[in-house]
Amino acid sequence: MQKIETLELKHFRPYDSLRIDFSPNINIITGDNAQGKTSLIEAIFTLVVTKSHKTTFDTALIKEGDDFAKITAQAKNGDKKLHLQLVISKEGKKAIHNHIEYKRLSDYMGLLNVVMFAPEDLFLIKGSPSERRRFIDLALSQINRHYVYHLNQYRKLLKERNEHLKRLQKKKSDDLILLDVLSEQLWHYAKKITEKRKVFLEELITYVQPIFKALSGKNDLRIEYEPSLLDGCDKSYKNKQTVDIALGTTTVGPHRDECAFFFAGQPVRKIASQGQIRTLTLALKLALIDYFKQEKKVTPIILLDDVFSELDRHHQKNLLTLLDKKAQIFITTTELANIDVTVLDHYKVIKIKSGTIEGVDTNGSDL
Amino acid sequence: MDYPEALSLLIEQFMRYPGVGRKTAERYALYTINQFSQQDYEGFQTALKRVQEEIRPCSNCGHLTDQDVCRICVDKTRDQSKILVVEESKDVVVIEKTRTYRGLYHVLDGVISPANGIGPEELRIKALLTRLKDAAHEEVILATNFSDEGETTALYIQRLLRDTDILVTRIAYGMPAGGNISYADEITLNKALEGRKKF
Ligand SMILES: Nc1ncnc2c1ncn2[C@@H]1O[C@H](COP(=O)(O)OP(=O)(O)OP(=O)(O)O)[C@@H](O)[C@H]1O
Ligand SMILES: [Mg+2]
Ligand SMILES: [Zn+2]
Repeated sequence: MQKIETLELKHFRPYDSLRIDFSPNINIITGDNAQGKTSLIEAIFTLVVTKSHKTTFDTALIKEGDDFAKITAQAKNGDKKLHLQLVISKEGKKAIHNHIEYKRLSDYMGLLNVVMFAPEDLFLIKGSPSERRRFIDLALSQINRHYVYHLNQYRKLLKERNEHLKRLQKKKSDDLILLDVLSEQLWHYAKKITEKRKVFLEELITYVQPIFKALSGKNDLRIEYEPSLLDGCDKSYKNKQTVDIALGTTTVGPHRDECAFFFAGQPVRKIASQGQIRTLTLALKLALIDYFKQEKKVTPIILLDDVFSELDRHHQKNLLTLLDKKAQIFITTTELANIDVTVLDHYKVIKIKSGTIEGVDTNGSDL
Repeated sequence: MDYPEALSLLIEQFMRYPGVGRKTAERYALYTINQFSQQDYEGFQTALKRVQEEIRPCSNCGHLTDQDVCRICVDKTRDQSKILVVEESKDVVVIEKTRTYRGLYHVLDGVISPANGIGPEELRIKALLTRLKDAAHEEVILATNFSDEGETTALYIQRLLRDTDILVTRIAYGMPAGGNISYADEITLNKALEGRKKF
């Protein structure tokens, strides 16, 4: 069981300084619009994954006018006590576990696990392929330490290769030997990433199917990984060399992978209704929780941003039965009345107003 | 609050060093003012002046020296058949301390990294090829760091020498991935040298 007991924020988003104790069960974070509800659970996500689910610009997380942001938590993973800290500054980020800095973020990731349900999830299906790669990468980063390392190496080498391609394109260089070397190095990591994504998606699908059936009554969902590099084809980079030079960028590789969803053989992106998309994203995230439980033997921390309160009572109840009763859950909502608290056993309500706690209340009595 | 101009200038000079930010630079500058005697100032000035005037890269291998050709290059008792290729001069100093290696060196002055604007032509790779025309040299040992750039550089030189009869070897992974030659301990370096293999 993974639980965050205490969270401290310094200069994170609208929060100047905050310290808060959480319930090991359900935490409902309420408040008007733009007060900091999402930011609070974004902080939890960021502390665990070392990246935000909302932005790729780490410095956007630093409170305007400040130099750094600091997220600190006292947490538990089973019997093990964890003290986690992430410091974000313009120079980069530092991940600290039990007061020791982890030089490689890949060694820090996976100490805790989170699954986030957010309004942005709709883009997971509707948006560009990069959204789907992001979903896969964020999940795999929590599952496999080597994956994070390989992905970082791949990105670094991709940048090197692209810079060299630009020089070749502009005829500032004619060094094809260097291009070969960079392609060879890139291929080394591309192969590993492609393989891990393939295995992960194959496993994830087995968890998605039954959940999707339970939510929609339908059995016709298909998920297909479409790797940009063909199986075992180490000639891919070589084959595209001329195109790559002409365009001044690398046109094949994991950074161009796609993952496609089909209902009854039809691509979901094109045909699905808003409701179907919502069901599918819910099923994907719920499957991820099952994946963590079965493959990693951990119950992740569950973050529900706005998603829960947008469901009607019937669906809220449905979702709650699908979620693990033993998990620590965070729910944000503008209206407490939107949540049927009668179905919850233990919960804590935390009311947020412009980056401060306005009130805290355990089980019941009105705020 | 601003420092007087002369002090600000000194702080800025210290900030040029890698890993030194404003705070550390301030500490160094204030230490200088509070602790330096007249003699210390003179010592510092002389040292700076002397490195500027006397120290230059060896015209043969690129290692820093106060001669035209460095002491290692002129030493004919050293094994002329081997050239060990490193990124920086300080790698030579570290490897020399192990006393295991008795061949020659070649300092590249960096690593290939197009993303940082450094192509092969910015490094002393041509100079290496020129040196290798001398038949006395039979083996090139690549000892760049095991970072991506170090690996790119090693692979690149290997490719250039692929069709020659020069034996190309790479020091073995006796060190953690991403490790820096200059920070490795002697035992690790010895192991890495002993375990070098065809590359
Ligand atoms: N780096 C930052 N520095 C200062 N303020 C910020 C920063 N980033 C975001 N904010 C502000 O934080 C506020 C809270 O945003 P947040 O998304 O957490 O609110 P919310 O309570 O989830 O709102 P909603 O109910 O609309 O979803 C916003 O007003 C936003 O402008
Ligand atoms: Mg919000
Ligand atoms: Zn020399």
